Amino acid sequence: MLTYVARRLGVNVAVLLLISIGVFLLVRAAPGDPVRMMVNPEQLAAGGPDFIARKRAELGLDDPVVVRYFIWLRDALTGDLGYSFVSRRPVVAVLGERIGPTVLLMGTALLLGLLVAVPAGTLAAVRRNSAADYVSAVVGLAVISVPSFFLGIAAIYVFSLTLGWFPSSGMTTPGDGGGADVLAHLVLPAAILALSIAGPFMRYVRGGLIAELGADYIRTAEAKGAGPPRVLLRHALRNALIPLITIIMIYVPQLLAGAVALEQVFAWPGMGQLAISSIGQLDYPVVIGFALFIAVLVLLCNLAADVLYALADPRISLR
Amino acid sequence: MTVRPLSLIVAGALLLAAAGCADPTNTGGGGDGGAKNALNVYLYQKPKRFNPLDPPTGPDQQVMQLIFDNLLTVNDQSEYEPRLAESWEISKDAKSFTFRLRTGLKWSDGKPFGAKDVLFTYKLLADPKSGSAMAGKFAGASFAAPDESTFVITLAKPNIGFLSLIAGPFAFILPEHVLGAVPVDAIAGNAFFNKPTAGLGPYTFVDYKTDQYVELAANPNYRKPVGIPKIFLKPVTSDVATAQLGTGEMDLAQISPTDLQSVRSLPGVTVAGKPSPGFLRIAVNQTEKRFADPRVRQAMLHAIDRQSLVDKLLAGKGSVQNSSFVAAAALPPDLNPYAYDVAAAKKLLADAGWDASKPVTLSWIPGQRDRDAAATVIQGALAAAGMNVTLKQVQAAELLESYEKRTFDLALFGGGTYSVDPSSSNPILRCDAFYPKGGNIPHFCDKEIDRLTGAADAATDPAERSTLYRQAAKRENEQAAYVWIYNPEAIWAYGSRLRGFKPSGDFTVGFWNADEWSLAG
Repeated sequence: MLTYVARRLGVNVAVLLLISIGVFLLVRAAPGDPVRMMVNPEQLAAGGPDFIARKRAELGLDDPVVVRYFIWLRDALTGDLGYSFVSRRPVVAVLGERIGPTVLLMGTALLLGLLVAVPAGTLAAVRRNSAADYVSAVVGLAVISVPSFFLGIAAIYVFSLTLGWFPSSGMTTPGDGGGADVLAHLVLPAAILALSIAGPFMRYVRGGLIAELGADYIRTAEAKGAGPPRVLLRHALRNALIPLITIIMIYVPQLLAGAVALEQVFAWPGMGQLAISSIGQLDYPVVIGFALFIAVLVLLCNLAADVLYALADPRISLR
Repeated sequence: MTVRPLSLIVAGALLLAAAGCADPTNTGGGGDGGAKNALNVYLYQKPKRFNPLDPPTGPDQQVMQLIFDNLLTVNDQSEYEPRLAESWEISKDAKSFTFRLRTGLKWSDGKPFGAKDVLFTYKLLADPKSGSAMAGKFAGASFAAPDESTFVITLAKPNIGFLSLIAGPFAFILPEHVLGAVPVDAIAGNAFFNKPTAGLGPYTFVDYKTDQYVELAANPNYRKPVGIPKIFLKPVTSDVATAQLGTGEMDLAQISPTDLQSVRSLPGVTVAGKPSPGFLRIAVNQTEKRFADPRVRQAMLHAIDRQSLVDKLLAGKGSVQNSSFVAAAALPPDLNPYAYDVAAAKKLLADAGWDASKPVTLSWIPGQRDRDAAATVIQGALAAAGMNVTLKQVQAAELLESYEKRTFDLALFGGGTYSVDPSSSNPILRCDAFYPKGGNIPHFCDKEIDRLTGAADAATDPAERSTLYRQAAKRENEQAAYVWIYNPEAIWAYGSRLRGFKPSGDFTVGFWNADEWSLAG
């Protein structure tokens, strides 16, 4: 098992290196110049002919891209991802303060999504082809089909502007920021993000449970006198949920993509909002840092999916 | 090994949630609910950092105005307003500017303020090594502080319009006792500009929760009592700002003319407009042969019903623009108004030998509703006159690159600060200011206008200067350097709690009298 993990990590490092080269080249290929972006055209003359040249040199934009890459790589290996062109703060710090809000949003959404999906999926499986099954299938399909940013805007209109139940944007009320305040801001975006994953998760639970309920060991358990709740919860559901671990891990990057869109809608101060504004301002170091963060997350989630699956299911062994 | 999958999942999710919780819940600070004694102000973009050496951007300038102070600013009447300088004198030759500074002032950290701080700041501003984006404005100038309350700027060439370069949200004075020891070439990246620890403004910087809000508190060492204990500046979308004006979560916001109707209906909200210092315009790429003929640009002016754009898109809150000069002293009464006249437009195009079969691209950065609507209306209007226009929405980076490579046909954009002094229009007109050297995006060039404006800035007699500028403006109007569209009013909306707010037409100096504000109730 450990050898397997070590080998996978080695492969991941190589993949990461390739991704970093790709991201570096792609970012540099984007049109426009970050220094020009900083200056209002009318103010260009004010800086004197020196200003742009100095700024470019200072930000290292004049060096060939290969040189830039290796300087960046050398620094990155020591944990230094450079400085934001815009705020002049270390990229690690800029990204670091955004991880918390995004994880809070995603984590809550994941939890809420599962709290809805597992009971609903179980009900749909046990009462197959009943009204409950059909209703959950239709609702599930509907929330999969409607993009979450649309639901977000609709929710703001209904729950914030019309009913006034929840704040419309941000993560805290300026000057407050206590737990209850954050929670009030969290409800709408987390609920909508949760809906977007509850649909597919519910279908996985339903499908898995139906397969398990038809298995021989269930009949054996029933024959030994186990009642329906025990058969369902102790035997069938436990086994049906094992594949869900993999699915959750694979869904984490997708969840992050959903969070990016919702963070824009709700002005949630997370990674997504940062990524979008950095791309608009051609803040290369932050964009590269963000892209690598996503790459690391995807690679780690894939690895975690395999490892957790092996841990949860004794029939699988990793070599 | 037995692992219970369900408990694993729940534990994992809880862990994720807990990791997220740890940060935001701890950072609230004292917390007064943000309501009673705090003012909530809208920022139209996210501020970056608070460095007067950086290229100026609106939200950064708005915040800096509250935490820093400068020699003089521009008030709501577009006049110079004394700040740290109580008064100033301009020498007869228009080269030497002497400022009498207020005495007995203290920085927010309690240290005394003096001419040494002003000298320190202006030396930084003039030194390209500091990363100053203003260094070119001070090329050849020298600075002196003969005593604790006097500061003198001596220019290399006479320039009676010089004050306009430092008045307004620029050249904020920095604390020498904090930054004096930092090497000049390292100062631009100093962390002070992310979290300023000392200022001369009515408010002190408390915190910037990046992209969420800036928190300020009244400066106890300010030169007079400050009426509002706390200010929160919130960069939210204009829709959210409008909605929050209604819920009372926002006390002061600049709004788009397209929101005027809905904001006016909000109870307890006052709306006030002032002519802005800039204008919406189309830069026509005059390096393209087909656009080099002034008749083509004149035709475009005639083809667009600009008054109806003002009436419909701006709800009447604006005026048609017919010059690149905005300052009243530079505007002659007899400018060609280029009235809406499709027949005249067609004739001018025919005279210029316009080829209607070749398409023309109009590029702009989308996102402002009045501008987006204007683009569509202009497309239709130009089509009626015989110009085949396609619309192209672009990102800022792409638009700037097309300026530099001169690959754009028509670019629609707005803004600028031209109202205080006519010389501020020079960087968008002069032959030596083609982008990226200056702001002359269309590559308009007229040597006679350059000569007139150059002579005007060297003149020391205001009447002579005004005459020369009017001649330049007349010529510029005839040649249609730009396709000027309209000057939109800056519209402010504020709740009844806020007292003492005096709206300015220039959003970037909107908080010029923040030390006179107070909260009712």
